Amino acid sequence: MKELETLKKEFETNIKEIKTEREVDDIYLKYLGKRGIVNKLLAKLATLPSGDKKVAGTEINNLKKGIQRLIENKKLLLTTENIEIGDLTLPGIKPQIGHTHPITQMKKYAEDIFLTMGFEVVDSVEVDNDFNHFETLNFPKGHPARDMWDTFWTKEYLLPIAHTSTMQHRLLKTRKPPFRAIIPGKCFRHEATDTVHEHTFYQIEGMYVSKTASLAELIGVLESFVYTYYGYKIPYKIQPTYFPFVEPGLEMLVEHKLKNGQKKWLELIPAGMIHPNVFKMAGVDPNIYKGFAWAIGLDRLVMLKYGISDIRDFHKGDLRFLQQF
Amino acid sequence: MKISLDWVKDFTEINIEPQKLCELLSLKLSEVENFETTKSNDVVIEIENKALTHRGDCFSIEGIAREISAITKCSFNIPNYDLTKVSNRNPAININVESIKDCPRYTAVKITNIKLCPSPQEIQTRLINCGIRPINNIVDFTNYAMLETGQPLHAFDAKKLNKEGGYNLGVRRAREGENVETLDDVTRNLSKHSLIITNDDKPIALAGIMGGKDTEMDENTTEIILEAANFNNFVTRKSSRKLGLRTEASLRFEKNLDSNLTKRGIGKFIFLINKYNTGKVEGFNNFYPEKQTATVIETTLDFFNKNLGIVLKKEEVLDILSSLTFKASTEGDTLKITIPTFRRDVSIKEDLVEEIARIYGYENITPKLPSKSMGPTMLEPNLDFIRQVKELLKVLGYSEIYSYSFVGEDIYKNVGLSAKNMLEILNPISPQLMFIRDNLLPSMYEKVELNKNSFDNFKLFEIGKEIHKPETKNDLPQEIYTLCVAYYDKNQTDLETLYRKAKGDIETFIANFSDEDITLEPAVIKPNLVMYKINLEELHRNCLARGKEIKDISKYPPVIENISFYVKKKNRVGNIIKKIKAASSLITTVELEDTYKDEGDKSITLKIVYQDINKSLSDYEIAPIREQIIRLLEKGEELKVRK
Repeated sequence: MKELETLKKEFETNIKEIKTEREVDDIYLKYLGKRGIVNKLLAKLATLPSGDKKVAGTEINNLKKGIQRLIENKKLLLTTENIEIGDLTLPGIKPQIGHTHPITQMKKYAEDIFLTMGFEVVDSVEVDNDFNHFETLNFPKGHPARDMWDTFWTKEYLLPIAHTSTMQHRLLKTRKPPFRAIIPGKCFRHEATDTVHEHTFYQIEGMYVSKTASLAELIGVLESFVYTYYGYKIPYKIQPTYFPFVEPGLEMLVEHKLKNGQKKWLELIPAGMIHPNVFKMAGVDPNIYKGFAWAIGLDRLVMLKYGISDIRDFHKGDLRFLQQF
Repeated sequence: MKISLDWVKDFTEINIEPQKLCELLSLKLSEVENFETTKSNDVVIEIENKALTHRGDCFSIEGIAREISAITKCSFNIPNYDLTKVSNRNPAININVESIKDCPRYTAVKITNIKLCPSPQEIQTRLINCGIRPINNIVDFTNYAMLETGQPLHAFDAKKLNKEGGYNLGVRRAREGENVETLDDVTRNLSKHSLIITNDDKPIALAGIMGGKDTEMDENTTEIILEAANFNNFVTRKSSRKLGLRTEASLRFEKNLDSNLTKRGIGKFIFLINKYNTGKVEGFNNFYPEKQTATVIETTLDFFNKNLGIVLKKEEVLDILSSLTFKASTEGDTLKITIPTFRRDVSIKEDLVEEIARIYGYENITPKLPSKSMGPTMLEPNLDFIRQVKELLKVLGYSEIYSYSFVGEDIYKNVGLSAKNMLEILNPISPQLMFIRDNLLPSMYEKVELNKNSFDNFKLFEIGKEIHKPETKNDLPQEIYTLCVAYYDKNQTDLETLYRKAKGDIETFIANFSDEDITLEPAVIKPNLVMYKINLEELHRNCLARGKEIKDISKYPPVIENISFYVKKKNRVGNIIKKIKAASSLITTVELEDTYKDEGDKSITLKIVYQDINKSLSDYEIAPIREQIIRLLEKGEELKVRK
């Protein structure tokens, strides 16, 4: 068998060197001619025991077919061009191709997973008012939990959104349950920047509303997403946490393997069952409908995937960074 | 928040290793990052506050002990403090509360025969383990009682208070112009947002935040007025934020404390002075007009199981609720659950779902997927369009950048724009991030400048929203998806060639989405750089509207001929081509074949293709068209045919 492998390599090297039709004829005779190498091999078959014979026979036949194909290709190349090919190792003249941003790529990947799960993809606003961003999400004015959001404010009392949940009220108002949707968006928080903190970041909000939505289904949906996203059954755990617009509120953590082989739990997806007050604000009866919602931080997913050490590279616009994607 | 496990053991047993306890607390209450063993052989755990924003009861050793007992299924016992013996002592403390909404309860106790000195070692050790610096016995006792019960306490030096006709304590909003010097030696200017404690109407402390300098204890202190009050969480938060002052006390009041807790705080404090023989209770007054009562929630087992998505037995649910000291009774299918007053976060049945879920364990809930109808789901059309735009630009050699939506005046000036009429951020991180951009060009120009250092030529694009300030007050801003592209080539010194290459890219790009003859002006032309901006929402509308009609291919050969003209400066090649195209329906394409300069005269060569769908064309048909074109151009454009 090893013999066949060597023979194949030898042939491939030889045929690359060939520049004329005549040489093609020669190599044909050498390998596939009546007294050629392949026929000699076939002749040897008779001496083998019957089990081995079958295996070896197939392999030799495959080799023969491969050689035939390469010879035909070469012939075609030389006859159609009908010119002498000089140096085939000259580098190609490359077209310039661009690159999409790594967050664009990862967003598409995540969106496509949810699309196959029956979620529609809805666009988010970038600037919103207090009503959509806080009040309809069960944060009355002066609510202490507002502190957790570190929002920017404009003179008009508008705010660059600090979470894509700002779209929840609109979706509840405009869609007739049951519905399921994800909402990617650009978000902003008043935060000093360093290698792991950025005032501008990207989220994918998810919402599912039906008569039968439950915690078990919420965990099921998130589990399906992370298993698909990572491509294996990544270990995860669910912990309680607090957000005014969900009850119960929870957080999914996944096991992240550090470069030194250690494992660490990473907070990945805050989530929860939609709070009855959020339903009521949108005129949906919480005694009939239930739902769950979550937000995925895209930046972190991308950083983990590629081992990016500085989150600020995302907005720097440096091609040396971007052209790697 | 630091919690001493040695202290927790006063109220419940801990029968598992600290490591395991931390894991369980993370899974069932709030993240515990680590624990450490102190010199005094105490184990101190650090619980993250964030997930406890609504859990005022957990900002105490007693509260955490209650949680641990529920999680590890151990007994839980806290002492009952009986204040009846002290509560009928000579009051002589008048309490005047302006609004019971701001201050639902105010309890004050006079304690005499005090001598300030360092507190006992065991008290100091526990305070230090929980991150609080010991000061003197009275201050330490107030802190100790606060950490244990969760009730903030404050001691005023009674001799520094005016006591004619009894002490006159008040709780009210501050008036403009008033101020108070707090214990940290800062004079605080007050406003109507600050809730204050007064003595004879004069401010002496910031309610729920910090005491005042004027009534601070010192080495001569022998008697105190101890305050244990309940202040509204919203009011405390606002006051604390306005003053920029956060303390252990304000942290707790912001969490919406139980009014009944003042009794436990005082009870523990009196217990400590009795135990260490440091004083005597002399007077007591309690302002508590509207007693906080327990909430009762009625629901069913079925409700819990539907929300959890699993099937629990009634006994399992009742066990969990009673482990959290909730009282439950059943009447037929109805469960009546009485919520202890310290659990002010639990007010609706959904809150109970969380209690059951976390104690039962999220890991024990079997994940399942919702069923789905067969209907198709898709991206919103504009998002799908943007995906197509990005893929095409990539193929055309453009690389995508992301830039901030926040901009400063400086980068607007660099492209000759003025930063006017934009949404302005009140609390920007820096002046460079002060406005919300209404134009993508300035950021793109900035990125071009940056990349010049590393590359001789490149093409960039960004898709983002240009955000325009709303016309009227209650409107939301208009957000327009916009594409900005930049074409840079350091080695292309001929600006016309550079421009035509950039324009060619844009024309190819637009033709992919629109049949319409969109003529686009470049946004920036500088040596080596051309930039374009396209309103993607308009382009998307064009794209949707086009009814692309596929033309039949002619079986007959085309006639192709070149015509050259001398052109003058004022001539516009684009217009000339348009005119020729319009001259006859037999003209299928007109292309600029060549341009050259000949002794100052510029000439162009146009390639004109004639073709008919039904027959071969001969010069018999073409000659009149050609003549018409020449006539048209010689007259209308004053051109001369070059022979």
